[in-house]
Amino acid sequence: MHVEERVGRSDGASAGGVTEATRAALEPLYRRLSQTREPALVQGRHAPLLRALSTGEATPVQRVDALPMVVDGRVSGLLVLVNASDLDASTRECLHFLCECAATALENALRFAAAEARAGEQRRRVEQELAGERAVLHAIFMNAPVCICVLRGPNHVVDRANPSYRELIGRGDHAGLPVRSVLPELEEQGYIDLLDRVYTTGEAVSGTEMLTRFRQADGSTKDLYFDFAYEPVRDGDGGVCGIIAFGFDVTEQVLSRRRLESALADLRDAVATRDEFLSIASHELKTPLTPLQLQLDSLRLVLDKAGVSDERTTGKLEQASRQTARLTRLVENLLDVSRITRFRLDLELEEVDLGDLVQEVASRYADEARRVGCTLDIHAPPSVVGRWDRLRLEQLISILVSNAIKYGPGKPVEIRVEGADETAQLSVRDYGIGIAEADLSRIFERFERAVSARHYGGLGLGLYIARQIVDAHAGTIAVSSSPGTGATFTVAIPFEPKATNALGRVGQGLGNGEVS
Amino acid sequence: MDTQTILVVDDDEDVRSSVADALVDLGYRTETAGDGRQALEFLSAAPSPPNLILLDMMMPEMDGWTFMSELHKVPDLASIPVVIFSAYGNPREVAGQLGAAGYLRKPLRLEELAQAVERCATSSSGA
Repeated sequence: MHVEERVGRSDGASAGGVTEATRAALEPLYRRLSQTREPALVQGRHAPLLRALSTGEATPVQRVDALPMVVDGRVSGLLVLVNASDLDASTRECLHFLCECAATALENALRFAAAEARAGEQRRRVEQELAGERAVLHAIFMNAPVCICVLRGPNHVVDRANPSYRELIGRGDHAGLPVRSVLPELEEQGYIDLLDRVYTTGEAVSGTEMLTRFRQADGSTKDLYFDFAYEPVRDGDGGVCGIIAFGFDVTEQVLSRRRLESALADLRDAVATRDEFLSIASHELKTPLTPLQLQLDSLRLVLDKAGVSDERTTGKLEQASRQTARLTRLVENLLDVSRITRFRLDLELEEVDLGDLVQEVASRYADEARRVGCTLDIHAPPSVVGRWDRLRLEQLISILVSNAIKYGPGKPVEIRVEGADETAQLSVRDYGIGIAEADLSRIFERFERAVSARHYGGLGLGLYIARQIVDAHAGTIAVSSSPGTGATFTVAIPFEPKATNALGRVGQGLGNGEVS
Repeated sequence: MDTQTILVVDDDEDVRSSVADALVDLGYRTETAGDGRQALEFLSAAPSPPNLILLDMMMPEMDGWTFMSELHKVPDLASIPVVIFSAYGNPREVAGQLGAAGYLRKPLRLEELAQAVERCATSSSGA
C-alpha cells in the first residue's frame, strides 16, 4: 500500500505521524483513486477518514482533498489536503502540477533506485567472480611445481615469488630487491641480459634444459637444468612494466636421460666391439684352417698314390677332415653373424636349380646321417630353377639338414622341394625331439637355442643365419613342431627375389628353431 | 708339355707351404713369396713368368691390391692370370674389381684348389 507516510495539515495545524486509524481510513480513498486517477473530495462529519484525522486535534477536519500521484501509469501515492476549502482554483491548479512533478520525481527516484540495485548486484557478482579467479590464480601461484617470480621495473625488482621459487633459491624472502642482487650468479650466466632484453623488446624468451649454476649458502655450487620462460608483463598503456619468470627444474629428467644415453652408447660400443671381435676372430681362425684342411686332403692323396691307405687310416683321415669342415662351418657362421649385424647380406644371384642343389648338399650329409642312424628321404625333382645366391642357399640347406640330423638321430629326415606359382618351396622334416611352443618364437634369433647347450653343441646361430638368408631372398621361413614329434621347417622363396634386404623381416610371425 | 709353374703369395708360412705342397702333389712346380713386394722381385728376376699367381690379399709390406696394381703396370707381367684367395671380405667381388681370373675362399679344399688352378693357369710355362 502506498500511503503518504507524513501528513501535513494545509490549515497549518500540527503535523504528525500517520496513525494506524488514519492509514486504515485512507485505504478506501487510495483504492478509489487508483481506479479513477481523478482528484477526490471527502467531507461530512461522519466520514471515517475525517473522524480519524480529527482524533486528538483541536480543530475537527471538515474536508479532505485527495490528488493522485501517477507513476508509470499507476497511482503510487496521494497528496492529501486537509481543510483546504479556502484554496482557490489557481492554487488547486498549482497543487495539481506539484503533484505531477512529485510523481515524476518519485518515478525517477524509483527508477534510479532500481538501477542502483541492479548495478550493485552486478558489481557484487563481478567482485565475486574476480575473487574466485584471484583465488585460483593464487592457488596456482602458490602450489604449482614450477618456480614463478614476478619482477617489476627495469631493474627487475622481485615483486613476489612462489614457494617453489623460494625453496629453490633458499635465501629467504627477498621481495623488493633487484634480482641481480639476490642471485648475482645469474648475471655472469647471462640471465640478467636476457631479462633486460625481454624488458626492452617486450618479446618473451624461453629456453630448455639450460644448465644453471646456483651458489649455496655454504659457498658450494649446485648445478641444475631448467626449462624457463621470461614473459613480459604490460601495464594499461601496453608498455612493459615487468616480467614473470617461470622455471621448471628438469635436472632429474636430464640426468636420467643422459645416464640412459650413456648406457645405450656403451651398449652400442659393446655390440660393435663384439661384432668386430667376431669378425677378426673368425678371419684369424680361418687362416690355420687353410693348411689344416689342405694337408689332410693332401695326406689322403699321398697315401692313395702310395697305395698304403687302409680302412683304419682312411677312417681317421675322414674323421679329421669332417671335424675340420665342422670347425670351418662354425667359423663361417660366426663371421656371417658379424657381417649381417654390420652390413646387409649381399647376394650374388645366379641361376640355381634348387632340386639339384638339395641333392648335392644332402649327399654331403649322407655319411653323417648313416652314422647316427638317419635315413635321408629326398623328394627333389630337378627344374625348380630360380635366380638365387647359390652359396647362401647351400648354407641354408646345410643348416636345415644338419639340424634335422642333429636333433632327430635314428629317425628319417624328409627333404622336399616343390615349385609353386611364384615361389620355390623347401621343407625339411625330422622326427626328433621337437620344439616346445614357448620356444618357437625365439629360435630364429641370434644365440638362441631351444635345447640346453649342455646336451647339444653349437653356437645358436644356424637358424638365425637361415632366416637372414631367406629374408635376403625376400622369402619366408616357418616351423611347425611339438615336443617329441619332430619339427618341419618350411622355406618359400620367390623365383626372382626383388627386394633383397637381409635386415627385412620377411616371414615374421612364423615359428623359429636352432642349429649347429 | 712343360710342368706349369704356380707362384703362391701368402704371408702365412704354413698356408704358403701347404698350398705349395698340395700343388706339387697335384703335379705343378711352385714358387713362393711372403708378400707382394717379394712376389714382384721374384717376377722381375724370373727368366719366365709363372702360369698362375695364387694371391692372398691381406699381407704386410705390400698387400694384394697394391701388388695387382703394380703387376698391371708391367706389360710382360700383366697378362699372368691371378687367382685370389682370401679369408677376408667378399673374394668374388674383389676378384671382379681387380680383374683376377678367379677366386678361392679360405679355408679351401684340395679339390677346389685343383679345379681353380686347372681352369685358370696358362697352358705352357710361357717364355
